[in-house]
Amino acid sequence: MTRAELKRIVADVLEIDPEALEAETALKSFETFDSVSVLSLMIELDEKAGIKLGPGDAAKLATYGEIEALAARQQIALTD
Amino acid sequence: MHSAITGMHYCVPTRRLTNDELVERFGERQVKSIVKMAGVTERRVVGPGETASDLAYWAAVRLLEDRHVDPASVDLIVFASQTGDYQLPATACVLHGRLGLSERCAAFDLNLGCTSFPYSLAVVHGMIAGGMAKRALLLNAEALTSVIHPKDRGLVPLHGDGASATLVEATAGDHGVEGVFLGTDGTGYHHLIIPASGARMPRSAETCVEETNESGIVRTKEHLHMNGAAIFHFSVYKIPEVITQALESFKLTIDDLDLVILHQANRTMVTQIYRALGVPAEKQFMFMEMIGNLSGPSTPVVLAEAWRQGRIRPGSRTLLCAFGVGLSWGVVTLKWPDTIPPAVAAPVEPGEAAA
Repeated sequence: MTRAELKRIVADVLEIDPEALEAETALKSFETFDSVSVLSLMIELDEKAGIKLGPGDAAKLATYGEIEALAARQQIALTD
Repeated sequence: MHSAITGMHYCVPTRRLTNDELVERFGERQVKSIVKMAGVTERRVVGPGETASDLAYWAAVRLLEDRHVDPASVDLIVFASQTGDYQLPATACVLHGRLGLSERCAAFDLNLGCTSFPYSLAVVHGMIAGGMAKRALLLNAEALTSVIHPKDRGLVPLHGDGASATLVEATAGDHGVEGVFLGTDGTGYHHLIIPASGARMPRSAETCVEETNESGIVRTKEHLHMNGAAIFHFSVYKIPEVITQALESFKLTIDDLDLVILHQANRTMVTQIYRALGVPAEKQFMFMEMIGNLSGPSTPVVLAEAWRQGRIRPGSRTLLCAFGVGLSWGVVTLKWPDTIPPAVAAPVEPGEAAA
């Protein structure tokens, strides 16, 4: 999976432009990032990227970069 | 001896809580976000002085009338709820008196939330199979809105109040309650909890102070707290596994089922579970859009509504699965007889005055 594809998944859930997502981007800076969108991320990341976002990680999720880091921890390779 | 469900009815409060009212309380974006996820557009909520047992009373009265059951012939009444009238006595005793049941009728409560129907049905079935009862009135009722903080923008949009009444009787036939598969993960007890609701944290001046968490949810320790991510994860990942294990233990497959009814926690959750199990659309049934998540009464109310809508066919098999607070889960299969009485056609709102 490419980084662009992963950004598209997250951007679609948050209803934002994927270009707005950088590693340090604070997800709370988007008004669409809330407790409900986190649940959607759980489903979409698993179904479309195989990334498992558990409740512990979900509670701490602060930046877009943490999603890429989660993919790396789960041995899911992201290409440019 | 087998036991079988011979009639069901339900009752929801008259008072409606619409999305328009919630937009005024929580803002449009928050309500839109939850509605999109949960698929709830309206809820029925109890009014001042109205309780879960009032709803159960009306469901029971109408069920007994419709089935021409003499109240004196009921030998077991079970009230399953976490919002009973009192800590003591058991609300089943209060309802026993209100319904005019016999002194030979056993009455007790079961303290369970979302899974109260499969658990309480299993208890009633066991008592009938063991010869301890012949005709049971099972009441599943909850007024969860009375324990949710009105400013809790996460829980208020999801939940409504309601009650079901189920008549369970001994039968010589081979239909009725077929398979029962119950389970618990008590390590997750804190994910759905009212912290100050018993001996562990007695109520005090501190427990009624409003707090706002990092998600902007307002509540006190005397109100329901939910770890939404943990409950959602448990539901969409654990429950398909549980149903698969249950089917294996029953020696059944999805092909052997005619209807699969799931606890109506929220639409996305239910859809995900159906999808994970490969349940075809014609075997699915949803009923939450106009009533919300009722907790314990959810599955029996959905079953009663499916009956009202003609979705229970003679000779068919229904699987029910409820899951949630505890954490706990329960799966039951019901085999329906070749002749099914018509559904109870009485109103589903309370009568003019509580008796």
